[in-house]
Amino acid sequence: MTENDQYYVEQCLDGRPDEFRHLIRRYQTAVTAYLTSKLGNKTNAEEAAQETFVRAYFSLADLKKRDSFSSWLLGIANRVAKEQLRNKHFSADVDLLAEQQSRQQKSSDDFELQRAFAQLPDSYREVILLRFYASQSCQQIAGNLNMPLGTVTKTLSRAYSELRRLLEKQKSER
Amino acid sequence: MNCTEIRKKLVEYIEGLLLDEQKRQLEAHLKDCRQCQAELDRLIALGQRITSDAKSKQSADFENVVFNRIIREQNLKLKQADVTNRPLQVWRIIMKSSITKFAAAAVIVIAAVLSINLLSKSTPAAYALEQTIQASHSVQYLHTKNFVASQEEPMEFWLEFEPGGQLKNMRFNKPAWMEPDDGETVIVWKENKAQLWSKKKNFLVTLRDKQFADEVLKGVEQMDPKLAIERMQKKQEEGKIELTIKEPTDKAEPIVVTATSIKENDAPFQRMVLFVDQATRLVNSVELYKLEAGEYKKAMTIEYFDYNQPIDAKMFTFDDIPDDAMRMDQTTQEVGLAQGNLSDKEIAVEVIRQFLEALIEKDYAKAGRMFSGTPAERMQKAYGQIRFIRIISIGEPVPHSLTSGLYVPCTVEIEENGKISQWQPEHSYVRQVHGQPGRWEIIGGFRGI
Repeated sequence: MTENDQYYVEQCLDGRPDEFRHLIRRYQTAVTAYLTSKLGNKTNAEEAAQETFVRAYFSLADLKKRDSFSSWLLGIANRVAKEQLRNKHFSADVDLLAEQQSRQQKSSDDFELQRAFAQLPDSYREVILLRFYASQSCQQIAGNLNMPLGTVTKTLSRAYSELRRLLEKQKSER
Repeated sequence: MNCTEIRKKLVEYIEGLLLDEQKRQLEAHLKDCRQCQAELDRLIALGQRITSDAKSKQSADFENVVFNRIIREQNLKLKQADVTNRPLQVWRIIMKSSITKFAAAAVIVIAAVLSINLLSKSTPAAYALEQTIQASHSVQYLHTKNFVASQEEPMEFWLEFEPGGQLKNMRFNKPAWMEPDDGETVIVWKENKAQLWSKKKNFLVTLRDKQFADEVLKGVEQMDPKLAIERMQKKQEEGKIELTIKEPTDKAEPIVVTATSIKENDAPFQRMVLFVDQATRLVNSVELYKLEAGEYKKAMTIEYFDYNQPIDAKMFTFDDIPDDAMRMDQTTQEVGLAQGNLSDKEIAVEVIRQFLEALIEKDYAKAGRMFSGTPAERMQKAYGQIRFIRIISIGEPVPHSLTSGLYVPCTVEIEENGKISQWQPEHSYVRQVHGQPGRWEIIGGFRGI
């Protein structure tokens, strides 16, 4: 139904900026979720997500491995998050998330999950982001991360276990 | 399989990746094993929890906000580099129309022409650009081939001008690499109507679209070397580029005019080389270079040939279209929905709703009318394999700058290849039908048609 990331990257590099919209649409939720876990605040995360995409667009030519757009994009998001944390002196540690949890910005926000998510190892988090926040199938993830399908399902399985462990831990600490 | 083995397979089971036999074994085990069933339920619940968190992070206008920022910053960069931002604006207007892909070629040419705006006029050489302008005045027919680096097949244009210089007819043979989906395509522009013929798709589209026409005409006019050089002279700015003219003593060799940007900037091409015939002073070809990693790399060559060779009128007609070809004529068929008393947002939602309902009811004729007047058979071919079950949601429309229409987010439950899923089309754009006041249509993108 849609083209792969590499196709859109190449279209953009060919002078069709509009094709970047596909990539924004595909990853906006994943990048926002990733940054929410890093920055602990939805508004900051959305701003940082916008910045991430803008930077990505203007550095597309630097993307050497065009088939690994998603990992590269999360790398940019990570740098943006670090800069924000440095500049604004707000801390993204789990305490902040816990604090916000008590403030309850919005009932639909699942702070426990975000807190657990923030503590996941990068490789686990990436698979969860692609699977749920970028709505990709395991086969697509395998293609995007250039790994065998079996590795994707195993990583997903471990990510679930780890998330559950972290969620349980939060419960017992309360 | 024992419990440990079963647990290892649960994710693959949820993801629908198990072979039938494995699935059967696993389900048999689950029936008898409460612990494993409970483990499966917990995994599913966790998945649902993450999914609902993902939904809470979706933002309808995120895309537009980001894209508009990109466009702004890009324009700013172009301005800083003293280059007009025209090519990008042109892109923005013409990109989204499904048949306007041929404009890509025109835009590349516009970009090429713009890059020579920086040429300096002050040149000591005996040859003067005015001579080429003079020589080009009487040109009524033009035939060009535009070769893009890395592609063998050129874009090929035939242009016929009125004696007064206005474009009369145009034919563009668009090579398959530009739009592999459509294959090789022919586009003819005549009497303010555009027709596109895709042999691969056996599909002829006719449309009359004012905005589209204006942009195409502008683009095509700029392929006229006379106008291009005039514009170049008019907009020239001293000191911005370095100009060299080599006039070989051998009269068989062309005059070589090289224009190179002095400043590194965001102009599409940093160097342009014109090859001018000594005898006629007409441009034979143009080479465009991009500066990449300190090296000028040739990006495109425009070959001008057959100056004033009359072009057969047959080149601007479609006489041999097979009888069974799909014909889609937006100039005669009423498409979309009448707005009536509805607001823009309300009519946009209504068009999407009626389109999706038509698909649910398998009323392909109606769906086609909503979808730019696509013939029913075509719709059935594209959508017949999918069962549309129900509309889950239609969201708040958001303005979409590129199409000057509205993006209407929606979610539909569909069944395809026996699998039920939720589908969110990426391009559900609705806008006013050009040339049909008060009517609104979907302008494409739901699925390749």
